[in-house]
Amino acid sequence: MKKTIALLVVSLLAITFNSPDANAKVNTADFWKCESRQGGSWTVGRAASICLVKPFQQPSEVQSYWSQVTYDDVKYNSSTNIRKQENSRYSTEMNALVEGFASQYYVKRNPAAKSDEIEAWMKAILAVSYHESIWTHYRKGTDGQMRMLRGDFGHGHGLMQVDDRWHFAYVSDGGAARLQDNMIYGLDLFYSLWTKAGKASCVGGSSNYLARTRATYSMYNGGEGSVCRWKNTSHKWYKNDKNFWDHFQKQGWRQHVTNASTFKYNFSCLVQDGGLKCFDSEIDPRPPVAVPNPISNPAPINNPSSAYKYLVDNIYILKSRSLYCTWNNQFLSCLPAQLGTQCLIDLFGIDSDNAYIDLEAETTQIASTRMINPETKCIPSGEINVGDYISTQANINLRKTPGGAKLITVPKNRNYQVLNIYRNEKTNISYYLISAGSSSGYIHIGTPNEAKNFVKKSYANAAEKILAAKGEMIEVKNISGINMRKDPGGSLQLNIPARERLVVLSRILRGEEGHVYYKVEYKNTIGYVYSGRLAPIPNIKTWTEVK
Amino acid sequence: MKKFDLFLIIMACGLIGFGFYFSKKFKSDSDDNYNIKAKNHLTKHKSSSRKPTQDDDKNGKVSKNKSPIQSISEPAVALSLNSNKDQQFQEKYLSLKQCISSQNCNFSQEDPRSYELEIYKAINLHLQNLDQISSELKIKVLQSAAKFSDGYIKQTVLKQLIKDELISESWRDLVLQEYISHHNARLIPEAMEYLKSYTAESDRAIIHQTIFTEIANGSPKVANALAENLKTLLDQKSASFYKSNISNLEEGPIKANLNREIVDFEMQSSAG
Repeated sequence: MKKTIALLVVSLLAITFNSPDANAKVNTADFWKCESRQGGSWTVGRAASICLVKPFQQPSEVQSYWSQVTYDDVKYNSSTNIRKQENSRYSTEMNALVEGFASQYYVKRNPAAKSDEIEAWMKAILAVSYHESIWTHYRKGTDGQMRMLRGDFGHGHGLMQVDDRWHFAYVSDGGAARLQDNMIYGLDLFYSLWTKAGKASCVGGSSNYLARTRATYSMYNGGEGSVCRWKNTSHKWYKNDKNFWDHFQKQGWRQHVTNASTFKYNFSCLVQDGGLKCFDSEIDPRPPVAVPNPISNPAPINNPSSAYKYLVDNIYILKSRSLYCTWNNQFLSCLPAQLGTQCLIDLFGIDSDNAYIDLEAETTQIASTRMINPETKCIPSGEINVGDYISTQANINLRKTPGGAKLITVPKNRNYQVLNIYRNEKTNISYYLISAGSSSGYIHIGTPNEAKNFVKKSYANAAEKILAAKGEMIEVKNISGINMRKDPGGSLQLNIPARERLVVLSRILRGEEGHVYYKVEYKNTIGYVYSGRLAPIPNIKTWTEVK
Repeated sequence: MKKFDLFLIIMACGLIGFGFYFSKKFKSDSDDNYNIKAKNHLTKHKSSSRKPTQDDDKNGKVSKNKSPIQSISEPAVALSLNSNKDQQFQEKYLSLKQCISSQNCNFSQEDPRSYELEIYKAINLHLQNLDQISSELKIKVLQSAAKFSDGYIKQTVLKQLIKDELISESWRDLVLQEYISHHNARLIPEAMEYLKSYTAESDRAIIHQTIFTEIANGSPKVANALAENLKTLLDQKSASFYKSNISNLEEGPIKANLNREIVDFEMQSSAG
């Protein structure tokens, strides 16, 4: 037992992954940004040491999205039986995650790979991740706080032990803390080396998988010049190769893994670096969605109000009455009775004064063709909605995607316009898309109860306006002007040249990315002008500017 | 016959060969599509070189260096050096490079990786003197240094390519191979900016074929970066190429990113 512990300690202290992709060395202090450090037991999921995830990632995000692969120290400190159950549960989940991730990754990179090659790769990844961290990433401490692994005097971050001295920018923006990001980063490097190892003289052919695995690990640990280090027993770092090989052969995790993983990940999305949105379909047991029956008797096209009423009456009112929005992208998203007025305009082009329905192309298309940005969910009147203004109540990290890479920190007491809202209805965690100077990205708002700690509603005159509201003036910025069309995306009426100014009569957002259309009047003609999109990063300013 | 003359003859032959290849290729392909053979093409032609084309001349994109473009697969050795400075530079460069495989130079061994990373750091520092050596040696060194996996060295090389306006088939292939097909997403925007200089149809075909292959099967981070920055390189023909091939991509964020770029381009082209 002592020998095993010593081996694991040596692994974690000495075998920290340093990618040659980076980077000038930054002399971070030992346990840099490590708050409230706790120890471990050098058993699966409990490699020491762990520090709070908070400096790099929102703890509630980890709790909501990654609880299945979070080791619970309270259970570890409970009875032997409960500890055993926790080891088994955690190992099973982690095994499923690493296996699924590794195989999906390899198939993406190499679609023609044969099954024995994929299997060899998966074994290598299971072993290297175990060797690096004893499959430790997130761990809930005995005080209930969310922590993550910090090996090698705090320099090695997470499952693949990304070193903050060599990957400072990546670690600093939270990449190493986000489990899926940490894995992709490690897999990208390992794959590149795996390819090189297949051609190395000491491997003897790319299908000599055991030798290829060992050579890849030698490079992963020591750099490309170390490709044959695993054969050189007198090399200073040969001990690392030996330790890795021991792990590879023993597969220590197998003793805990049972067959049944309880969680289904969307691996296809995860390996594409899809961020938290990869959980939308898996983590969220969607509420019952109204399924529209085919409209057998379409309402007459010359009576849009009646067509609209028909749709609402037959499809939505009863089945979705408890919801503000449906979740199925194919259907209309909100119940009119519960909408705010801006939402009516955004989603349906309905002017709240007379409830006129702006049916596209004047046909009775089924509802799916009229779906508006599902992320721009209808928010009950009084709550912050797309186009509203907020004032930050704390310094908040602006991230490229919800929960993704940090771009900048937006300071407290600044005002911004909300350009999109991303919310997972199960976790109830929200993110607002804002533009702050030249950077656009998402800020964490948390659950409705937490939101007040981050933002409060503000007023238009305090912030830069990106998205115009009814009655506001816009100026055409696109060099070749913007075409005015009868309907959004419909028949061409005329071109409005650059620098012309127009008053917005109403605003429509379409599609998952929130394509913006303004209804305007120009030279006695009323129609719609395209004005870019909101998500994932807005490009409205290249089309129009609010004046 | 001098080496340089011999090289020009070889280049001329290469140009004729390529001209023939592409005239055949584009006669048989549809006008708005490229063949997806990027990786094969790189393998097949990576050591070829050509004279600047008419397009190059017209757009002022020819290399400022009149020296021969060497194959990227050749190591940076065996060049008759013009000056002591060149000699000193090359000696140091080669000795640093040698340290990687020999593993016995005087660099830190405090952890398993520090040794190699310190070498990369020293090489990158050495490359800051590139402007002090002859253009012939500089080209050799750039071709060699781009192959290091270190991101900072790669960045230095790329900046130098842009600064010196080094444009040729072999540089194009080098950048496609060592940047677009590498796994460092941080270098992608700058690499795409560099590739913008290639305006000839034949260059663009190869560039877009490679990009699409990487979007489909490359590093996920690189694939996303390529898709997100594609507007840098899009024109009507390439947009049409991506549009007709996008259905071959797996559903997910990468495909969505690519689709978004195409839609943005189309919207921009049609003024909404």
